[in-house]
Amino acid sequence: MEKVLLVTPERCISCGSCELACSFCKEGEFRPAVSRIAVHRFDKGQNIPMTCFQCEDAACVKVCKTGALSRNAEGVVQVDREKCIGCRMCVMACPFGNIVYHRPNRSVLKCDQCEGDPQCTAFCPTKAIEYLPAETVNLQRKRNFAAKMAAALGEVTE
Amino acid sequence: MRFENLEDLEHRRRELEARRAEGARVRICAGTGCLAGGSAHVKAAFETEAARRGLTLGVDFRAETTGCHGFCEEGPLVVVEPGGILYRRVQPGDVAEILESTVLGGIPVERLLYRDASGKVCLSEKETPFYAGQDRQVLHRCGHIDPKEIDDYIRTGGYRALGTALSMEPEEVVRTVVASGLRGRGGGGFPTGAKWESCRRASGTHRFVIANGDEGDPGAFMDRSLMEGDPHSVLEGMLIGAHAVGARKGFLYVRAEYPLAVEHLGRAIAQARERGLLGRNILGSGMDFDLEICRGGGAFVCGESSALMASIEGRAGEPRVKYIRSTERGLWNCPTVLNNVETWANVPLVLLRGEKAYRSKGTSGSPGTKVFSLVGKVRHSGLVEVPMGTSLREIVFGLGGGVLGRGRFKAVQTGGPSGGCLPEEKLDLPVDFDRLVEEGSMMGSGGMIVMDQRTCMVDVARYFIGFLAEESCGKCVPCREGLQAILAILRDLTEGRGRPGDARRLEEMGRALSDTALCALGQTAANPVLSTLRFFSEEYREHEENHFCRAGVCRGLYVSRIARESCVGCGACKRTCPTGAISGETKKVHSVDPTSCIGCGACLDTCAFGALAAAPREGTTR
Amino acid sequence: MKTLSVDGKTVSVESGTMLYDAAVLAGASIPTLCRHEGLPHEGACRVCMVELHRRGTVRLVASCMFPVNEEGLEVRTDTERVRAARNFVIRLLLRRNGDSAAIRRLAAEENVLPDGRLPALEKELCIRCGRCIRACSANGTDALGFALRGWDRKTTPPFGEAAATCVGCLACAEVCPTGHISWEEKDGHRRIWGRDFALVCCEHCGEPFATEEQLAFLRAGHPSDALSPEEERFCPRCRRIRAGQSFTLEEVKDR
Repeated sequence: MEKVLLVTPERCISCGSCELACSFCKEGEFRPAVSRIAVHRFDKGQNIPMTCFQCEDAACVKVCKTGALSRNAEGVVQVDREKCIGCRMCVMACPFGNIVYHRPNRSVLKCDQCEGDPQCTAFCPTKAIEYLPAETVNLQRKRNFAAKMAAALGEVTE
Repeated sequence: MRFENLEDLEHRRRELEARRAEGARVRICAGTGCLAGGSAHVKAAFETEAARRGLTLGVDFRAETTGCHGFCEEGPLVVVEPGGILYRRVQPGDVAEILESTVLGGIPVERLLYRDASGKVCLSEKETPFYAGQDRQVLHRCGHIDPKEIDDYIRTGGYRALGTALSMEPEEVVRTVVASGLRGRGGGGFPTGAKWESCRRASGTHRFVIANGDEGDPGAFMDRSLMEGDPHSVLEGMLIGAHAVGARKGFLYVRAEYPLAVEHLGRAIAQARERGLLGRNILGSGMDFDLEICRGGGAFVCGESSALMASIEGRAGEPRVKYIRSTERGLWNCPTVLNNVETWANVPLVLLRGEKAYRSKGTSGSPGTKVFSLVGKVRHSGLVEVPMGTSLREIVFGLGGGVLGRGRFKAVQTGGPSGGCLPEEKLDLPVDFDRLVEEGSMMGSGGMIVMDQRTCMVDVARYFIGFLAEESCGKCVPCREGLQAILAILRDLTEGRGRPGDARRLEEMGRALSDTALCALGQTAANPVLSTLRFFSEEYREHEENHFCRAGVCRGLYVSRIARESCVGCGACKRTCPTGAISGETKKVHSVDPTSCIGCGACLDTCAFGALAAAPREGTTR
Repeated sequence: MKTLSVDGKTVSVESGTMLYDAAVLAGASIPTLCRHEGLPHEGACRVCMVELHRRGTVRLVASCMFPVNEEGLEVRTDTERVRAARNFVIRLLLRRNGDSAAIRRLAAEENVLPDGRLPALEKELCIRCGRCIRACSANGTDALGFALRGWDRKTTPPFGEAAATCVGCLACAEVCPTGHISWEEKDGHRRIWGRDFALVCCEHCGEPFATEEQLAFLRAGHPSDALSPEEERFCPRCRRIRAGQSFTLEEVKDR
């Protein structure tokens, strides 16, 4: 069953637990720089954890020529580190900056939802990040979110 | 004039046969060798001289240029017909006499006739040992027809085999070729029928046939002579192959260093198209097929099948790893049959005479005949065709007339750079695909280089490894780096820096190279080393331990020594020696001062009495 | 599915799977150099040779390119013959590329010592594996190729000049196993293969983040892949911040 990471920014207290959990789970170190999720802290106490949206028509997958980025059965865009040639085309193509190149690994970093057990969710103390079945309701929220994003950034998905 | 069907072709053949006047004529060899010797001028001289004598050219007398006669050592060659009187080393100045005495008077010009080793005069090709021992099947038209004239080919039965093939189902043609036991003449000896079969079975909408005319072995010119002397036989073979496997397009890959072959093949294709033997609906059979010539840039590796195909596709001529056969995925990934030109030229013979007749020649494992080019220190350099299974001795001593000059036979190298050197005791080996491989050499495409005792086997290995290192494409590590490493040791050995254990290292590296290289070129590249090590290990030992070259080839690795009993005191060596190391009074035994001798070998080649030989330098024996 | 045995272990793989992958699946460890998972294989380095027993014959094959298309193949990855072949290749690489850490590491893993008999060579890093060329070709930029042949073979842009199709993406340097391909970045410029690229700086933070050619290449490649002119002006990091920002602002406004 397809599940989605649902972010509710107003619950975020900017503790950074998700970043630490992610970097530790993925790279074995507590270093937000290699985390696939990043909390952006704005003025007026507004915080938002940002991570890959697993876009339906993902620009990163389309520009990848070696098959290093692909979508799995659960709809998650995954990285095959062995296949990455470090051309960074996906990094340039992502409109949300949600995929980054990591030189020491010679590969890109992006959220893969921890194979169905996202650690950011597990460690988020306020349920600002939730991992929920993509039920109609949630999908609706996801769509709302995407529509807002599109409106805010200008047309990106056409 | 286009042949609409088989009857048209047969009609034309009968017409040409009937029209052919029996009158006096000469066959002038215009193969590359004889052309270089001036045979074009000889032909011109025949025409002028004939005209001067009031002979009408083409009626009273014909001067015909043909492809290679094979006896290249004695070129330019002229054969006077009828009678088949063979003249050798003919120059334009000899033409008037030939016309006057032989053509008009019927009397041979004795000074232009060939004399065999015993001094006996040979009047015709039949009497000449070089030709008498041959069985010219593939080459039967070479030297007899004008390769630039399709009519000559048709008159002598050309394209009849195509007719036979077109009247058969493709499967039947494949079955016939399978049954004939024909094997690839390019070197590998892969059964041709099996190749066709596999291509026929492979799935794909397009199929191709290719002729490999990228003959790159030093000293080999079988394919060149065939393409120059009888281009239509290659075309006909390819047409039959195309019918059998269902190809509509074929390529002739010919090296650009063979301009005459390219020219003749180009003409042949144009003439065949004119006659409807290429193009749409060939001979009314519904078969469409066309041919294109691709000129290779001269890289040795382009003779390797996958590199050749890459080259035709317009990419760099480099081999691909091919664990999937090119009959399944070849040119542009389509099923492709690639055969050597000589193999293609064998195909019409198979179809015309049937598989049984074809099998009657040669051995059971390697049926048919094979063309060899015989070069090196042999009396009769040239092109010979013999049934498979003929012994090396018969080829080198029977046809080849033995070793040139006063030399003693030492080895014969078969199979080109990737082949191997076989010593005297292996001379009775029957030459076929399998037996030579058992002895660490291979028949290859048919090059044979004869070596005498003045050939250093370590130096030979160095030469061939140098050649192969130069020709390596550099794609895989073992061939690119390994050949250089082997070459470095061989250089050390021939330049006096050999170390104990070098021969063993060479053998190890050679075996590893054969195991690891990507393509057939690399996998066989160590053969010159491995086969010389196998039969001439003593010479390696001398180079490595004593820094001594018994052949007197490796500079500085020997001094000349005069055998007292053989020296007649002629002084020839003394005059040749650049350092004044040889002294002695006239008609008295001479001697060499070893401290002044630089081991250049000049005297060794000069002595007509075999009194000089290479000896180890003082103090070099460990 | 086809079943084969690797060092005595039986595995089943999809027909067409390469021996290398089948062997790894069976737990074998095979060294490689020119192989890259994301690129077409070439079989050029010959380090991954394994012994193949098939229909009564035994031979060495490059495991990265030999497809398992039939039942009953038997593979051995660690026989004396395989080791001799592998050592031969590694020793040759040590001779010319002994300065490369990757080659030295491989030699250490396989217990291969340099060949003292052969005259020393000037050391270089390039092993001519062609990974850079294949990466560039996979990308669609095709700015690299091999020039010359045999010993002299080398990796180079056409005619050794700055390649017109190069976009300065650095993929070639990233896939190079020996670190032969160098590049530098300073004063807002990136230099690789003799070509200078002016870097585009982020409008927000001022950090240089891409070459103009890279962005142009993306724009030209696929109309729908192209970023909006707006997004193009920001580095990926700032894009993310902007996206987040607009999101929170929207959310706040919504309430």
